[in-house]
Amino acid sequence: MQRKRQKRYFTLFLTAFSLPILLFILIPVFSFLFKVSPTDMATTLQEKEVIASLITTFRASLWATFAATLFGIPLAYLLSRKRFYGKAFVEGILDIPIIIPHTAAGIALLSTFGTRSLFGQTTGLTIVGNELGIAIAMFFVSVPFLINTAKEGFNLVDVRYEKVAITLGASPLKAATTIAIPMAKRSIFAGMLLMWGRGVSEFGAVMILAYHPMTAPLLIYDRFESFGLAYARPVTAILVLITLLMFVFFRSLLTEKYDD
Amino acid sequence: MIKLQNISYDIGSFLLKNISFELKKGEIVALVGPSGAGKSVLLEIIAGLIEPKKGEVTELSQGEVALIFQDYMLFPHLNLFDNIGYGLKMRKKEKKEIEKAVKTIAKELSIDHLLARRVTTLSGGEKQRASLARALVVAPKVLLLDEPTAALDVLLKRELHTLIKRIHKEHNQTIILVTHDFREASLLADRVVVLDGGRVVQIGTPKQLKENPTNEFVAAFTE
Repeated sequence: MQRKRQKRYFTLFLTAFSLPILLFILIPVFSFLFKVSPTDMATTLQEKEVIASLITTFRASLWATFAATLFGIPLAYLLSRKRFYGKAFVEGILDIPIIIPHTAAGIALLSTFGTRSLFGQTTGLTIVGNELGIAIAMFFVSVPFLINTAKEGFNLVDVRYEKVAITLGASPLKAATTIAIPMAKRSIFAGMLLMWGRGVSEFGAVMILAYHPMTAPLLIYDRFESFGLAYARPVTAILVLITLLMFVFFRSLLTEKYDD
Repeated sequence: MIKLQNISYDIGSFLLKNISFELKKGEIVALVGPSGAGKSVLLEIIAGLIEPKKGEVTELSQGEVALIFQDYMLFPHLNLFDNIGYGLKMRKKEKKEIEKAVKTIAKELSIDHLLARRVTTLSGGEKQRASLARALVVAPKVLLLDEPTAALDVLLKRELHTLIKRIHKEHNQTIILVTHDFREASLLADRVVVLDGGRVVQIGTPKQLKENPTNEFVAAFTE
């Protein structure tokens, strides 16, 4: 009886500490959502500028995510499966985009890939003021989310599955593609989703590289700066709602479709 | 005949030193020893999964061995058919050939009615037979069993012993079995290799080991 009571108190204790965090996130988001009238949102949704910024944001983040998946999955696999000299250093590199201010990331990217940089002059490519620049900025700041989540996914797959596959005649590449990747697909997909969401919300690095075409976070800032809070609210609400709905949809797919 | 010649391996404080012995075709050899003796690492070297620092395994190449772990390691994202057929698919066999071979081996092991099932829904005994079927379907030169009965209850253990004996009889399979249980080794194996601290302590038939242990360790182990 006493044990039961202790258990209940412990759960209460955990809830008491968890609830403030959840409310801290939920209250600002929902209180401002309630302040935006559906009519305002509907009118804002008809503005070409808003639609264009949403499309640019979602599409650029999608390109960044696809590119990161292509290069990031091999890196995540490498970090999960191999022991090598300097591994901690490589893992440290992946923390850089998370710990440096994103405006600084934008400046660094601009110096490396800008029109007057060695890259810009040799390739003739320009990343300033176009969607490529936006995608590059999003890629830089959000790729660690994909790699770290995928790496954790690979860590959960017992390496002996691949060992069995190799003794059955699979090459190491085949063992990775037919066994490890399908078994870690839930984490890989979750990582892609996280990266995409993080890319969508990026402001600092994108602002430095490409103020135009305007992404949704920049449009929000632009409207707030030029016309004030009331004018910035509807587009903010639209971005939050669409992103939230997409996240809920994909998260439910993740938990239901792939559940064993 | 498969030969292990002066196999040495070290990683951190773990060490295998100058392991040499031979395997005759159709023989069952048990590698026994306490935890940390190097049994499983040696098995992975034989399987070609780890390169030894020194020495070699002759007359055996990768793809000629099949490895079975104690917890079966059936691929959970594939159904039973695709699990059994995996090795043949990797060998780029034709679809019809794969289908025929998978059905034949599944029938032999009485799991042919389960081929469409997800392997996560199989019982312990079915999983056991499934992992054997997946290994046997590629007709390996050597079957490697890594502590196959370590986590099993008495009934399943007995069932697996009978199954190993049957497979050995029907396929004349060379088998290397890792176990820390001398009784199991003497029940199944023609010869036993006793490992301790990464070295071979004694090799012989179970009877020889029991009657003439070369040192106290073997004597205690075969008690």
